Amino acid sequence: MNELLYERALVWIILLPLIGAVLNGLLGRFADKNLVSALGVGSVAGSFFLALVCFAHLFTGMDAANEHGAQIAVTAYQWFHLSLPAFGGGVHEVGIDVRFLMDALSGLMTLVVTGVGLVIHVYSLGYMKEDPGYARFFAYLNLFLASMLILVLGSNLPVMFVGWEGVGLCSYLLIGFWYQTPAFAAAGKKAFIANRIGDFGVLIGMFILVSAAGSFEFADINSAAPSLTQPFFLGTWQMGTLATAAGLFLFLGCTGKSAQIPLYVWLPDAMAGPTPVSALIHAATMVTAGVYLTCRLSPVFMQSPVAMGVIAVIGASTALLAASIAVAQKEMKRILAYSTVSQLGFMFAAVGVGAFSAGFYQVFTHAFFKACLFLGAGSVMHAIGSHTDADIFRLGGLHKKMPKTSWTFLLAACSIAGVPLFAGFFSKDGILLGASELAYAPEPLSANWVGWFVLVALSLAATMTAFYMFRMYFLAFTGEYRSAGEEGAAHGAHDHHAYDPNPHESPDTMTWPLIILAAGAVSLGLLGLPTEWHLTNWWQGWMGHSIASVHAAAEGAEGAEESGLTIAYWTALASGVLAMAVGIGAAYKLYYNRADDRFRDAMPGRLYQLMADKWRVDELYQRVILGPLAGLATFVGWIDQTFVDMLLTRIPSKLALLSGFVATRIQNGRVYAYGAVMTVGLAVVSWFFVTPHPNLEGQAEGATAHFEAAAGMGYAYRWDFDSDGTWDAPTQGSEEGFGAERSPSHEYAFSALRGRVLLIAQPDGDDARVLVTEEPRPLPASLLPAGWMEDPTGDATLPSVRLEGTEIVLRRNSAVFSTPHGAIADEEVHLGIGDHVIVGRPETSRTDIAVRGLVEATVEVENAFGNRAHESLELVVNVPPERSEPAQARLTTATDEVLR
Amino acid sequence: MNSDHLLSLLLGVPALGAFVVFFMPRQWARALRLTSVGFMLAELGLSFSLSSADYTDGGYHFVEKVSWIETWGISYHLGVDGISLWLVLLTTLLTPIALFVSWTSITTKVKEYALSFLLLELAMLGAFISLDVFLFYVFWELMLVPMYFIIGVWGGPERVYAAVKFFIYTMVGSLLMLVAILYLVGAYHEASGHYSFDLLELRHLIIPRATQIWLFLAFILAFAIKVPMFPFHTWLPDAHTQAPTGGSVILAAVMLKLGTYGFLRFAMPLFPLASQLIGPTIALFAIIGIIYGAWAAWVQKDAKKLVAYSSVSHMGFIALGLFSMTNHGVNGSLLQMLNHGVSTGALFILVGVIYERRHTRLFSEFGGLAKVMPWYALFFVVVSLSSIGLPGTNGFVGEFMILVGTFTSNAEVGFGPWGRVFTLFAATGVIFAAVYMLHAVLKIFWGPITHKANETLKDLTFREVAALLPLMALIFWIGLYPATFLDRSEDAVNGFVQDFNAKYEASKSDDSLRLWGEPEAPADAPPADAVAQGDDAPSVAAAAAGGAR
Amino acid sequence: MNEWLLLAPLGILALTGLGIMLVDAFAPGRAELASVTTTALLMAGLISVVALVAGVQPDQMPATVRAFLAVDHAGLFSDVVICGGAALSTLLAGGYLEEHHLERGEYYVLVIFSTLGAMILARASDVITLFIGLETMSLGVYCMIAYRRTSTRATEGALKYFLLGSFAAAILLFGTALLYGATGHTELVEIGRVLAAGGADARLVLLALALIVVGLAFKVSAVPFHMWTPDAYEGAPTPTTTFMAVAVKTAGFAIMLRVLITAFGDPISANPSTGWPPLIAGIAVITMIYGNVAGLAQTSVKRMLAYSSIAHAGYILVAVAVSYAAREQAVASVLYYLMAYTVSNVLAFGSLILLGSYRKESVSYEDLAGAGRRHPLAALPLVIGVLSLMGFPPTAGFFAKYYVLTTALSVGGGMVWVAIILVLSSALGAYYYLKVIVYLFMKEPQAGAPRAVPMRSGYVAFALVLAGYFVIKMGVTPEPYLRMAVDAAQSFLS
Repeated sequence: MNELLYERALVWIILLPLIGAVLNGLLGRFADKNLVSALGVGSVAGSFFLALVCFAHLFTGMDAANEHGAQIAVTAYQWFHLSLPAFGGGVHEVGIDVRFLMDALSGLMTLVVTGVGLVIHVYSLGYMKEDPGYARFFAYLNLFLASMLILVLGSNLPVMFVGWEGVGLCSYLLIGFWYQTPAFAAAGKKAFIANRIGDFGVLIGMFILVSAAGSFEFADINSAAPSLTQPFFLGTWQMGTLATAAGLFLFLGCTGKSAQIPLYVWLPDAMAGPTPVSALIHAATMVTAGVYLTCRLSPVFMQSPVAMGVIAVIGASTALLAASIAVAQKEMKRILAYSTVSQLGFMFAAVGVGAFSAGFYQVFTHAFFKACLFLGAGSVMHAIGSHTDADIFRLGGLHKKMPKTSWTFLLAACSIAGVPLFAGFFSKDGILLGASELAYAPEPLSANWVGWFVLVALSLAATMTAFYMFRMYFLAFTGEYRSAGEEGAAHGAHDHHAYDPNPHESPDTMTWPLIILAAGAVSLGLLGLPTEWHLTNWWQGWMGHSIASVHAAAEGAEGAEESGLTIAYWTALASGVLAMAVGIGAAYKLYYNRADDRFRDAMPGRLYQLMADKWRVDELYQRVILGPLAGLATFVGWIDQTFVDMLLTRIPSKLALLSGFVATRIQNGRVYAYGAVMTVGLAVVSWFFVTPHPNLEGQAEGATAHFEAAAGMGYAYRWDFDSDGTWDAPTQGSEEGFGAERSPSHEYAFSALRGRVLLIAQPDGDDARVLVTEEPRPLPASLLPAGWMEDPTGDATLPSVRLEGTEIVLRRNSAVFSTPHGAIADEEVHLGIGDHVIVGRPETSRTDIAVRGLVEATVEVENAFGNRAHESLELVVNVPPERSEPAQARLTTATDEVLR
Repeated sequence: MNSDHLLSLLLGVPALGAFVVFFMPRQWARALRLTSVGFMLAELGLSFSLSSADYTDGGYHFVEKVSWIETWGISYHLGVDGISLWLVLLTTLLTPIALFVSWTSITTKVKEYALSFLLLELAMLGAFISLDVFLFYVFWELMLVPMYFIIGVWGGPERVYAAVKFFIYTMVGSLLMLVAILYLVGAYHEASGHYSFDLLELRHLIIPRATQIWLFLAFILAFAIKVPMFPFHTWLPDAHTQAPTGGSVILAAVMLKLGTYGFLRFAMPLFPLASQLIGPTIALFAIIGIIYGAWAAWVQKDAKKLVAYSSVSHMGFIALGLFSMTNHGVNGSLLQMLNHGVSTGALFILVGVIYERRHTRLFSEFGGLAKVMPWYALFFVVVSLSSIGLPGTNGFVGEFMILVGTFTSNAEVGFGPWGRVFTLFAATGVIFAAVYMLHAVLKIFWGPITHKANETLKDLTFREVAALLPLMALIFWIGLYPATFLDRSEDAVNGFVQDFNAKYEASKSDDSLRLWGEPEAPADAPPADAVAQGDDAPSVAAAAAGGAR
Repeated sequence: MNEWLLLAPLGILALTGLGIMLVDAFAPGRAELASVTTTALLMAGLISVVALVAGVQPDQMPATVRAFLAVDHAGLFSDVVICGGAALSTLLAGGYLEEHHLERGEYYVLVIFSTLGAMILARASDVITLFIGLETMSLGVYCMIAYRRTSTRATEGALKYFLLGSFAAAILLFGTALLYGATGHTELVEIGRVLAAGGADARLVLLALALIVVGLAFKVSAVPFHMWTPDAYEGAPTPTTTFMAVAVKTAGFAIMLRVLITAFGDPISANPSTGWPPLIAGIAVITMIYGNVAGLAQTSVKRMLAYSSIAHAGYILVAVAVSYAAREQAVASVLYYLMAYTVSNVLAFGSLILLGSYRKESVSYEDLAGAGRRHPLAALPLVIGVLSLMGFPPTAGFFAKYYVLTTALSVGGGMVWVAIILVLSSALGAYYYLKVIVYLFMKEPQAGAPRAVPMRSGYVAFALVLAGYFVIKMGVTPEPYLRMAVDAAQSFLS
């Protein structure tokens, strides 16, 4: 066999629907309807066929499997590449190839997508016949298939992400397919944005994975999974391990795409779209993408108990919540929608407890029975001539009127309810088994209580599932048809339009799909027979190649497989069967051949109302998140045009203009005013020359300081270097001490110092001064380097400094000091003038501290007019103490540190 | 055609066009339009031959250097590298389109209109290809005048306010930049003994940290106003809402890029210490801009204002990526400059389309247009998706690279530990983008038709489609095969990052005023060998070669 | 022998002046007078240019001449600027007076003699000459302002200028007297020597310095000695305004440089903290700010241009203030600035004359409304003019401002802040310059407002073309003019 051929085929699986979409989308409007149908359905049929071919090839090659199992992979071209900083320094190129890969997992998913997709395309031929947007519909549908296939077949995260967002787009377009109804368009937008929130998570997850594993390829990431247990740092805070962070962010994406708490709210509204869409996108394929992703990256998730636990709990809770809502709904598609959410919850619960393959098996079976149910509902709606709703309380007795639909619906219902030997039974059984195994596990992956929680929650959910399914079936198909010859208006509820008085079976294009899917719903259980009865579970063996499993991870895995009928298994089986029996029984008792909602009467009214209102979660979100956010945005939009603009534009410009007017007021045209202004000017100018300007400057070198006062016409100077009030220079001889000495130098004696200062080097190049006095004062933290503390955790006390005789004593407290040679100093450091220390460890962030002496000099200037002015200057000099130095050096007691 | 003077030719064509148009009688509206667009198309064709060069050396090509004012060491120094190449092409592509879309909407003073566009193109190209800081400044200022006229003469009711605001805002920034430039050159003179405004020489100058910070801030202010970055963005909504469609297109698609280009070309390589010190802060403002812009866009009632604020948000991404200082981050920013040019340009054109038909842009006036204008709806949705950053369109690649760049920017040069936090916040922009864009789509296209006037709107005309198609093509081309663009810019960007790091290290250890890197060659070498050297040499060496001429 | 070229311009003007007086006495109201005068002025200017380019050295000039009249290249340069400005303003007058039926020969006589005065003032190397030149110039200008007898504003402006002018002249005279008393010299160079030797009484010298600075600051209309400027500028006939803005200002700055550098150039009186530099810098700062801020609030374009001229005086003063340190560069930048400022101003005022036809001067912004739309060609010079005044590349004004900035920054220290104030205040100024363009192109006149039609005058057109050419030329290739200025500065400082 020629591999190249299959690689080509793999690409064409995706291209065919894409081409169909483009052609139908651009030209379909002008083309003949049959052509459109042919193109739409044909392309899908083609890609289904190719998928079969590839899968068969894969299947035959499965025996000769490498560690990944047999796979067909094809690289189209390199999309773009990153150059990450390599761990060993330098950069390391991370190519992002447009690469597709079909292995066991993606192969089966492809089959489901194309197969169910084909069936539903055929169904749509009949269902959408009358719709003006026929071509548009098929274009969208094909586009969806293409994106879904990219999602499934993509062999790395970015390519997968293309499909991931592509399906989101298509669901947006298809939900809002009848865009002229504002509610529908809004629902589409809601869906897209909910998904977008999820995508945010996926992006971040991707980044974490690529920065850790250095690749986007699923294979590489999975093989690098063991290294993901290192801590993940956000800023400077540690947030769990890499695996946990990545897992949780990715799962956020899944909650968006696969409608889990908290982002599930878009899915029920998504039923606004045409029924085939609900069946294909919002039941069979797209919404299971999340499960697919988790299975794809199962090794990563396995590394993080936390993530697994979270997934399990959220999945189970979602299952329960959604089921409880479904119980109280009246509209067929809504019931099915919540049922879908609930079933997805089952799948995630399975993933969470580590039963990946079981979870994915549920994806597989669910695709069939749920699609069948949706299409059944669609067929009913088609029959009663209503595209938007089918209120089960206004239906009934349809069994006689449309037998095919009824039978297939019944079979699918049995399957989802978990009637033994139906497909649903086995898949659900597998999940419950996984849960109970976790519950009983000696060393559980996450925790036993998670297992118990999941087990109980799922059993309850399963009961409700059976109940609402059969509630729907009995109300809709048994008893008498209740809408015979009624008027919509008469029926009270305002938005209801009349149903067709005498419904009839749908055309074959719609019933055949039902039959095929029903067959699948019944028979597919054979793939996943429980090993406990020593039957071959073909599915697990098959999936083992591309999905990690707890058994493989936890020790004694094979044991678990062979152990046969363990207590765990019995628990699972019992709870499953019991749930099914109770559910169906209750439904039969309450609703068989009846018209009224006896369940509601049986329940406390408030509670039931709450369930019927979907626990008011939408309202909650509106109140808590959306409302405030919108408010904030409005505020921003307002503040931008008012405050920000005013601050940066209007106020300055107004000020300028205002001062302009003020300035022109002076220009009042009176000549004597002008003269006056000139005179004032003249006065100021003369004043400038009549007053002396010392402008004392100076800098120190070691113990010597050089001073310079400004040269002025007829200036005379006298100096007091240590500002002790006596004029030192020029020589005391001349009266009043004035002389021509303008730029003297002065060497300071130790005794002339006015005080001691610490010079703390600052990043901007300047040194900050801290004056040292006898009472200890802490060094301001703002002047110390970032990591000055010994241990960042403990409550640090700043180093303090005080003067002790002629020495400066530095208490390090919880800071680190080291001498310039790098030796770490001990608790107290004694420093003399000229000494150096370093805060922080020499190798890390460090700051030099130097001890210097402080002197103050004064100059007085007398100019020719006999006016005098004086100016003082503080200087820092370096005067090492002489051996024998008077201890009573007088000290100024300035209060705070002086910043130069 | 002598490729040694390709760039001068590139500047010559619009100049010639302006000259010709100037002497045409004002009555010949049609002829005027045709001539000007003709010249611009010629320019476009000419600019394509730029891509012929081999940019994998990351150096400058088609270098021309003629001394202009010797006394001050000012020279007429042009060159194109992988960074400026695409911006030049973006300019030459969008200018004709911008003029082309206002074919019918501008009926008064067509002559002056065409003239302003030709001069504008000249100035923008000049700014992108000049390697002499002074020359850059001249073009940078020159750009203001035509745009000032375009807004002020052909704009909306508040046009004068908007035009003056635009002018003064930019002028304040650039005047401070001028002072900084002169100070910089003074420092260079102190270090090297001769005056020079040549970027390739100035970038060898290491300046003391404290000085560097001030100069950097002056540069940044000028560029941040142009970008515009929060909080200096308030001129943008006014300018956009008042400007005619063509003006908005150029303003958003090309002129804003000059700000980010300035970061990349001047502010960062000249002052590595400062940009490293202040970079994270700027990134912070960029992120504020991303979210703030998105929220502000969300609540606008005027379609054009919405797009304007979305620009603030998108440009935030670009600035963020630049300061991440990772190869792919910077390269992504560069690509995102193109993307934003293409997508936002297209968006403004599209908004202009309905404005031209209904003379309003208020969302409340529209709704349900998808029924009457299906093609228009298709184009609009596609462009919105590209601006949202849907994978497969151009927006995704850029944003993805920027975000990865920010996320992986953990080195000392870059955001250090904050890269991931930044990413976390910046990535929410992806969500809000969807929120405001879909809000716009919902308001304009979905729902029932609420206004009688909308029932008879006619779909895109051939001319409009022709103007939009190239942009559409680019949206998918960049989205599906960005290699075409990235490969050419990559090496220049890597060189930039490399040099930045090297210079940063050098100046960190010793930030005293001095020349760093290769010794300077005598100030008067023949320009001929500059071309030779500029063409074959790795980035640092090429810079030196350019510097040494 | 050719060193007499250096004095030829003065001679030519003197002769032409007398000649015109005679002609006008016998044949009054001859329109050709304008062209005659212009030719004379241009010739004077050209000779100076030739002398400059030929590099004629003043060495041979007998000391007796050099004792009272500086014959260095800076003098020639100022001659070029003054004559050129005067010539251009005369051209404007040629169109303007005809339009307003004011042709009387004396205008041209006045122009010529005050130009002569300006040139003498600019070249004065002795306080006596200085005063003579000052008065010759001023008296002529007073009359030129009041030239339109019937207009009260003109006479009012003239009177104010006269009163304040004589006040300032008195101050200046007193200053020079004190200086003489202190040093025993009237020759600037000699004064400089004495001061450098430090043999003079500090009190007298300082007071003299103060008084002289004030007297000169008045002529260049620096704040707070600017008060006369707006009224005089607005009241005067536009050609006169032009003349004042270009010739008078140039002479004022030229002599200011001479006095400050030649006489007070010694390190003590030019000390950066106690001498005149900080004083001048301070005056420069308030002048820049005041000029631009006050300009914002104007409704009359002419008045706005008056304030703009104040602001520009401030910019030039920045360069003067640093001339103690960046000597050559500072002088060169001042000279270059004066040249650029002259041509830009002629462009602005000229197009105001051009646009305000039918005997009504276009003075307020409103009068300009829509003119640009109706007559783009007539409006173009105004646009270029204000852009150049705004300091916008590539125009003469940009390089002028640029040069001053570089000079200030090269000194560093506090001057960096002065430079920043310079650019910020000029950004402020951009607003009122843009307002001109706004009204020209973006506004329509109110209903019923008189619509000015550009006058058809070869004189004005010629002047505008000439000025416009130089504005652009000096903006695109400033090199030759720079060299000229630098050369002038060198010969001035040697």
